[in-house]
Amino acid sequence: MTTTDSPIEPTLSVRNLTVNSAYAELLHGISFDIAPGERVGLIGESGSGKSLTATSVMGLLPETLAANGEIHLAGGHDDLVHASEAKLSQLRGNTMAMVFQEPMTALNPLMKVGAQVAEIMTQHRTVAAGQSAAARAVELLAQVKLPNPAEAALAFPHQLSGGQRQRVMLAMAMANDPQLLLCDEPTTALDVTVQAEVLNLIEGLVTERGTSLLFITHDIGVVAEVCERVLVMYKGDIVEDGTVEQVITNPQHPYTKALIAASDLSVVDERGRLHTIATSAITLPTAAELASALAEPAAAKAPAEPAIAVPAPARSLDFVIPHQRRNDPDEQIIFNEIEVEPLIRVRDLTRQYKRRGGGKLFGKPPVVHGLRGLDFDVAKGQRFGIVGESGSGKSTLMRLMCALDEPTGGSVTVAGQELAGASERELRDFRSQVQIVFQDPMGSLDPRMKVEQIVAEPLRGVSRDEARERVIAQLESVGLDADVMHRHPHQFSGGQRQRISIARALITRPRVLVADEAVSALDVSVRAQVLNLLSDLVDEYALTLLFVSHDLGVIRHSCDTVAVLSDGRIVECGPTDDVYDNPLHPYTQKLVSATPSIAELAAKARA
Amino acid sequence: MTTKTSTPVAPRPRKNEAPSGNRRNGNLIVGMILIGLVVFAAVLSAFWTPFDPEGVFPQELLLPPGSEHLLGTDNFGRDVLSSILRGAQISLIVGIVAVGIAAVLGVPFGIIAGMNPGRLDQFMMRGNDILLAFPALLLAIIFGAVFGANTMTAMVALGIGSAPSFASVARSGTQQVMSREYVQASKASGKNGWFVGVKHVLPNISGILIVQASVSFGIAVLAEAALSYLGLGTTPPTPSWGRMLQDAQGYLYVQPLLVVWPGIAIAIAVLGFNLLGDGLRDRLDPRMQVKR
Repeated sequence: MTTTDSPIEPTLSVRNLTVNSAYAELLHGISFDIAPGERVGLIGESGSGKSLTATSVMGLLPETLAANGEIHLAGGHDDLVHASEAKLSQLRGNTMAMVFQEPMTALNPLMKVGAQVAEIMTQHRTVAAGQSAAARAVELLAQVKLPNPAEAALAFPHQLSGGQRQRVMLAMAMANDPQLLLCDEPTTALDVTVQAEVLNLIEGLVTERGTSLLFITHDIGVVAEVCERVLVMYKGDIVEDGTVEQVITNPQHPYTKALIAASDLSVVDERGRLHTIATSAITLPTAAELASALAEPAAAKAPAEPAIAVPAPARSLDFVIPHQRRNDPDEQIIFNEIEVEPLIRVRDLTRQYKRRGGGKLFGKPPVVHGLRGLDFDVAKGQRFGIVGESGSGKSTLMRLMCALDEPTGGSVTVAGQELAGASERELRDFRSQVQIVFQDPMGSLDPRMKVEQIVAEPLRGVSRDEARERVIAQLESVGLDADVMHRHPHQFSGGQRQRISIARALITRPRVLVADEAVSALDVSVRAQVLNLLSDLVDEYALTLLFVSHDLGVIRHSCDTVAVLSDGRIVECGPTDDVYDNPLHPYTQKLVSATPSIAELAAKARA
Repeated sequence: MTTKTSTPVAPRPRKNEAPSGNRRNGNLIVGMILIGLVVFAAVLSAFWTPFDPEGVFPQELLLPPGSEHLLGTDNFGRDVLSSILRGAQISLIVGIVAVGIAAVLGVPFGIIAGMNPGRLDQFMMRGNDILLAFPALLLAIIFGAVFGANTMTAMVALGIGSAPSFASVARSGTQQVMSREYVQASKASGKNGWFVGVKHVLPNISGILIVQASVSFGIAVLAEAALSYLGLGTTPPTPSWGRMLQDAQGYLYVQPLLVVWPGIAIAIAVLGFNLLGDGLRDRLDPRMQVKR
């Protein structure tokens, strides 16, 4: 069933679309239709060709790429692949519109947002310039539910928050009532609670106006929120096409099955491990080829896991983690208090920043509160998750815990060593005991160094030969071959780079591992592999894990205790499952409800 | 409901072996050829020149280009071609020493400033700005007046004069590197500033420093010619392109070609280094590297 033989003319019809670079074919002749008013999700991992599809439709491909095939919009327009630039610019923003991932760069920073919305309309002569355009812009901003639309219209993009900017982008996209709206990862850069609101808004707007939607994302949860139909892309092909319900509950293609299994962090196998694309595809003999192509080569070579079924999440702590919430902002509570020698003790930790610019010309610079008095303990062997949205102070906290920054007040003690005000000399011992894994797998490895140097860097006072031996052993422990030592970071995939990062962090045999959004930049399939690896290593090395993330699913899987951070304060803390199933603080409730699990989505889709 | 909507097509054979990035590297190639010429002249003149460049032949004054003297002779009867070839030596030496001094002074200064944001950085960079506001050529003139005009003072003055631009480039590169997570990781594992500076910062800013060096090289060659023209650079009788220009000036109406030859030589050297700098910028830019 390649084509929908419906009597109604589809809004968008793509036939045999190929995109070629100078070296390779990137899209292998894809075909699909979008019916009027249909909401279609296009899902795939990075490099699968989903963004190329959208840019081809908009005629925005870079010059180095060549498209072939046919793209037709309803209304008897010419084939867009071969249409002239003049024709295309007539259609863009008018008949079809696009919302990009990063609203800050998609908006003109020097133009008031109202004027930018008005410009789209005057450009296409749908509204005459002047008063009426400005009034219509405000109206549109009201429709995207910007608070105080008249005032917001006079704001510059930097004066708005990320979510507000994305609303402005939506207002611009919807300004001329397009037949087709393309969204390329529009909520990926947003916090989960904001994401939920923006998704609702998109869904509402397109349903209300009968606009067709092509929604590109890597997140199956987002697709389930917004779309009716899903196209799954894999390596430049559409491998599955079905309704959201069908695809989530009964995926047919091995890749889709694997993708959904790997996306679901709440489901583990009998050994408490997440389904990775490799393991979930093993049950399908026909998919062996696909599986080996998908699994990272290094992971495939990793030694077979022990056959003994270890009862997985039974990491017993010898105390009961209390479930606490903050009732009023200034209340002093010590979260997760441990009487006897906690490994980490944080008391009344504050960090303030002076803001440059802003404020009065000759006054004191305004103070921004990063952290407002944190009190908590972490026991040895605990897996402590810290969850929060951007601006909650979680990165600040992470930097303070690693002594990369000085607190303004309060104290952090790790294994008896006070970090606040300690000299680098006093911290020497601490440095080898606390190691970090960063978010960005590219930025955290020095591009000019070889893997051997990178992994060996934290070692001190060790001979060359011994260092090399330890590097080899450590690389093996993260599932990489010894011969990767002589390569540079850019020769590895994201997941492999993250493995190298983990190897570097563990080479000094630390007691505490701090993971700062360690899997946020990874594709779903790789994410599951890295989480499994982290979990194994935490057990193997008896580490205390401090996992900082905005992703509730990740924290829920990896941690036994979670602290919810909001606006520089802990608002709730307790055993992970408890906090998620039974959130006490309103903020946590909002956060939890904004990130439905795959199981809930399936249930919702069925309903 | 599920269908594969298309069959995968075998990837097309590569049309072209050379990566597309090479097309833009015409600058690099032309720059290297021009500098190759200058270096060749300098090396050749160390062993052989058609005539002695310092030899005076009073009976052969101001000859036009001919079969014996390919580029003619000057007002002392010296062979112009020989002088041009030998002059390449001085130009290169001045360039190397001046850029060397500038890099040795400027790079550590810039790295230290870049690694210590706040007061130290502000203090160092304001000092740097003061020096930057002072033209290198003016500095060289002052040095020449105080320490005597010769090649050495010219080189030192030009070196000191170009150090601030190295410091600025090194500092901004350092600031970028310092914000990367690998530096954070390095600090978190207890590495000191020295290690971070030498092992992480320096290798990662080497690309922009090489570009800066090749551009400064061209500027130094030009400045040496200007100083010699003003009589503040290389002392006679050592041939120097700048002084050849100045000497030729007096005979502009008698033998105008005398001005042209050293002019062309200077232009080739300066253009060569600038093109090399541009070419290297394209080639060594880390962002370009990531894409490839």
